[in-house]
Amino acid sequence: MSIVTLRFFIYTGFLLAEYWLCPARARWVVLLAGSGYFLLACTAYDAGVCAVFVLEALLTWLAALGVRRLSGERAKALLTGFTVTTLAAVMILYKDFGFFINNINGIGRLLGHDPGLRLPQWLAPFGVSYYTLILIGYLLDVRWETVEQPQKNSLKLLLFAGYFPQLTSGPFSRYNDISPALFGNVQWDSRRFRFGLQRFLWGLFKKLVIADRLAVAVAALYDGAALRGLLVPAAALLYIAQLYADFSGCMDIVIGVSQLFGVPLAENFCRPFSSESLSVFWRRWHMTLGFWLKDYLLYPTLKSGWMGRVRKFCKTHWGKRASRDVPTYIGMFITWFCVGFWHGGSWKYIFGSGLFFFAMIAGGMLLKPVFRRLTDRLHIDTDARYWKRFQRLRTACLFSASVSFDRYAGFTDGLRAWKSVLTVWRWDFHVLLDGTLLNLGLTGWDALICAAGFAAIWYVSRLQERHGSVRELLDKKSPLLSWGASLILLLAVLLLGRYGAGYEAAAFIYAGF
Amino acid sequence: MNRTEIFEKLTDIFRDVFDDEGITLTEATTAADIEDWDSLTHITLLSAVEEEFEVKFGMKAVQNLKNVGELADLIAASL
Repeated sequence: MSIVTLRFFIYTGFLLAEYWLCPARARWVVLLAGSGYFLLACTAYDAGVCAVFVLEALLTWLAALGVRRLSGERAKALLTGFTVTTLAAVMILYKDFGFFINNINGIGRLLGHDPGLRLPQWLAPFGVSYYTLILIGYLLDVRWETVEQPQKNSLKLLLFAGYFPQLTSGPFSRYNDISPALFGNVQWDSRRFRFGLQRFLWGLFKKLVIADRLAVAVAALYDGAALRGLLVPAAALLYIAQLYADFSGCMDIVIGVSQLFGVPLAENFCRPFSSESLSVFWRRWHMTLGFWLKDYLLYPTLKSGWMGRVRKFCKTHWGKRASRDVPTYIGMFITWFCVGFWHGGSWKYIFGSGLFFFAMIAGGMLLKPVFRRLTDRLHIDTDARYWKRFQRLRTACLFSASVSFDRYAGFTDGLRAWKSVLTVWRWDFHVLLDGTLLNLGLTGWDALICAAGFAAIWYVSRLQERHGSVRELLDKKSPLLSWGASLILLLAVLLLGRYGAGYEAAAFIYAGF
Repeated sequence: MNRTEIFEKLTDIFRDVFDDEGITLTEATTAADIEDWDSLTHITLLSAVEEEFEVKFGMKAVQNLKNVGELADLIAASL
């Protein structure tokens, strides 16, 4: 059940009515039942697939209680390690088994003997990429005592990990952040409800009015004849625009729906395109994945005993600076590999993510003194507005280039396309002007709507930067203005939304990861 | 080791890690006050602090530090 279907809207409406009419202490049961139904509906009522989630959640629940009861540090570490490995292995088995098969077959062919291993026929259970990381995070929080008291009620832990808004594309929730609202006594608040509704409509606007229009042009570019020359970066920019409208729109819908239930979910975006460097971009795009990787992968890796030995080795052989930098690069390499791998078992994701981290290390760390000297020599005022704008544009272009690999059929297709940008000795600017870009299945009207939509997103970002929440700003000025904005959004979604047969919208890009 | 000594030693470590001799620390200094203090250098900094003070911090403490004052508290509690 996609979250942009009439069915989902009706389901949410019924669930909201039950939730708010129910006594406060029993509301979590309504959410649990609703989330269970959502999971079943999203897996075509395949109880076996849902059982995978239930078993993983129960294993984590038991392990968390065990970790708190055990007295020896070694026993605690062993139990945590076993559970985390099991959870990760199930996710990798379902999502990435094909990756290993393809690689074994590829290596075999290179060595002159094709093993001919068949690709698995199973599909990854719905939400496995999200609930697995949420469960691992919970267990590690219990282990490190960030969570004071592990959840004793197994059904409540099932709700925490399987809370339906976060199953489509995240965000990755932390137990301490959402458990008070999930299991506590949430009071009805009409202002919060209106804000939730507005956020939900804003998300629908981004998805149905902008992203699904751009999807047509992006598909025409990437799924047609092989991209070459200047069309490659042009397509990358279009794809990043689609991805941003799609993914951030999905997050607006998810966070808005959750707000209707009075449960605050973590933000996943913070105006990423106003970032002046890739490291800042990394902290503003898919934020909860970044926080998850930092807290549960990067920090434990950098603080581990073996990394301490690496640090010592570097200090003895190469000096103090290397003892600081080398472990950081190793940590970032591991993070890069895991980001790519999490997105899907394919080299194109690993390479795309690697390109991003490489640019971050090379541009932001290794070459920083060189760039500083260069800007000094050229007398560039690095605080000037034009320079900040250049930095923002450069960051967006670098990110688009790395993410564009996700959209190619395979890793080598992406490489070939980007190579053609560099190898074409005379750039053919004609492709940008001869109508190729205007003939991608979109009418002039569609292009105008997309441009107006992005202008609206840009304007809202500017307002957020200056005043914080735009919904609060409108509400403070006049509740009438706030309701007026909701009505305009609703009309825009109804009149300008791009609907397919039966008013079904296209699937979210991140739901596939 | 008293608090002044902890701060003096911390200042040396900060100057060394961030390559900036101009850094002066107060109880309220946060990552926002030092240009290169991000999530990556944060762990490098804490590793240097652990090494110099010969202490070991737990993951909870590493994640929840708000400012230099809290870092000094943590060091004092670990010594």
